[in-house]
Amino acid sequence: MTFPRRGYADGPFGQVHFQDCGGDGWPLLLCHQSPMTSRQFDSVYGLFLEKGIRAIGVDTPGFGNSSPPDHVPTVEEYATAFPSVLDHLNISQAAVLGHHTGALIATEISLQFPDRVDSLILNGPCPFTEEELVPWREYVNVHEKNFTHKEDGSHLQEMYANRWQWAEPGSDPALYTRYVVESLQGLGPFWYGHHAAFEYDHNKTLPKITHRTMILINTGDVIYEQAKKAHTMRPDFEFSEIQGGGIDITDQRPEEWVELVSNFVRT
Amino acid sequence: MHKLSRKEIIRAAAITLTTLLGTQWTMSQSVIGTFPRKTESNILHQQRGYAAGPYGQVHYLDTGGDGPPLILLHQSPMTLRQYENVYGLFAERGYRAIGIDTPGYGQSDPPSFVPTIEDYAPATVAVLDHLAIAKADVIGHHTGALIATEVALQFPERITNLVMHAPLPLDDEQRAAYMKYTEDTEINLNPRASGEHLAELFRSRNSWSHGQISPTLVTRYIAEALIGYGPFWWGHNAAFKYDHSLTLPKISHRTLVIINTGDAIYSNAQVAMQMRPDFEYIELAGGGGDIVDQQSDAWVSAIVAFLND
Repeated sequence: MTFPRRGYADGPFGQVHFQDCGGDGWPLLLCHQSPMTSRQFDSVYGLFLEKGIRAIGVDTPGFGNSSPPDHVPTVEEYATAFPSVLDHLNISQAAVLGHHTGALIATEISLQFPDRVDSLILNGPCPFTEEELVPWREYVNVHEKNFTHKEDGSHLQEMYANRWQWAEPGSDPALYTRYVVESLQGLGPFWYGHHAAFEYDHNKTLPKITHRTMILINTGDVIYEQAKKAHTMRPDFEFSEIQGGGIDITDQRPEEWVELVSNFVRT
Repeated sequence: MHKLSRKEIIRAAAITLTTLLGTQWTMSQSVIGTFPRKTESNILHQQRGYAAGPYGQVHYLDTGGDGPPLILLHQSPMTLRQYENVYGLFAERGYRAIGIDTPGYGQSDPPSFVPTIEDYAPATVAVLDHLAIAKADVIGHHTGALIATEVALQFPERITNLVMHAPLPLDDEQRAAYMKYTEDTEINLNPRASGEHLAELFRSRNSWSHGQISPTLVTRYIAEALIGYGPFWWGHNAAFKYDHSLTLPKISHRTLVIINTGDAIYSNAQVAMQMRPDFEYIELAGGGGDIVDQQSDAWVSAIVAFLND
């Protein structure tokens, strides 16, 4: 079996689904972007294992196979589900990495459960201004909240096109098909993740982080400038960047990405 | 007046949005996300989990409780979510319903080779072992009915009663036609940058249910088809290569054949009954390939009447 082992922990909103590489390596919790699942990290689990790191991907509540909250959740609330996985696996402390929405959740995990976090990796922090948030909230309204299902199936093609616009030339349509399916497979509405992300104020919480932290970004990421801004706010954080890529960096540059994360986690 | 918390404000905003945007929006955000059917009794007790099986992990959903256990095996290319609307109905009638993702579908690991129906059967027993259940009733729909047959033949001591929705004794002409369907719509599905493949798959899948299933639910069916760790054509491929005509005569358990008149393989159920007039038989009027969602209550009632008899 080349897959990580999957399992469930009991969390505040019901069952929390995770993928665990196992082994004796240092534990690294992985928080995915919206609207995806722990499969966002399918290309890197094996690479972490080779580096001696025990990567554990968690499905955010309502995504993948994790039970959804019974209300529209906040980033603060999402964070409360993650220690359940550490408890279930008898892990007292882990490095925590989050990508995009996951970076916000990772921030909240470090603030709410400081004892459970060893170090923090923010892959795409988001200290947006209110003005900058306007188009992002509009995106959620148009493409996610108002997503309607049509008799001719054209909504699936539209959703695919909307996801494919972020693809690098030469990307695999089968992979982007899986991304679309990840959006649609969840047990909760798929707009909850981005909605929570764009209501969250990272400007207020970035200054409160006390853990050893690395900002990780790639120059082709649509929120690259936000990472530069976050580093200006916290020059004490380490800063690593990958050239090019897009929002799917874990599939686009898996080796380079794992190398940078592993070097930070192990030092 | 108390100060509203952030959570209360967001909730109020969501309710307002629902009201403003109307029914279609409500459907789009609720139906895909409904798991399981929202009755309190049900949500509290349903647990998903993994058993160690012959090809890796086998994913299941268990309604729990002290009732007689009942295994639900899904059609292709779907997952244990096919039974989302009936887990609660079986539980309300005193049964412990357990749905299983066939290896390669949903969250169950795939075999490392192209499997046959015979190969799928041991994964079912892995779940029974994991849950320390000695014996259960087994219910299968379409491909699931074939897997259920194999569970009955390979592990006779683990089964109490057998329920087959749509047995499949095929003649050569039918077999060729169904294999062609599998090749055209599944094996040859070619993911393209245009995304047209998803709309095509949707339309093909939608035709099974004769317009009786909402586009929202059909969208979930598509997600079920494509989310697996194995190629989604494996299930139909195994089903259409299986010879039910050879195995139907070997079944020794008390058996119910259930079918609906709108099912594409209705006539095969008649052939099965000619082969085994000793089997019990129930038919529902109308419906299509998604009878579990189309006539949930009638379907559960018919099966429970047989099991309780």
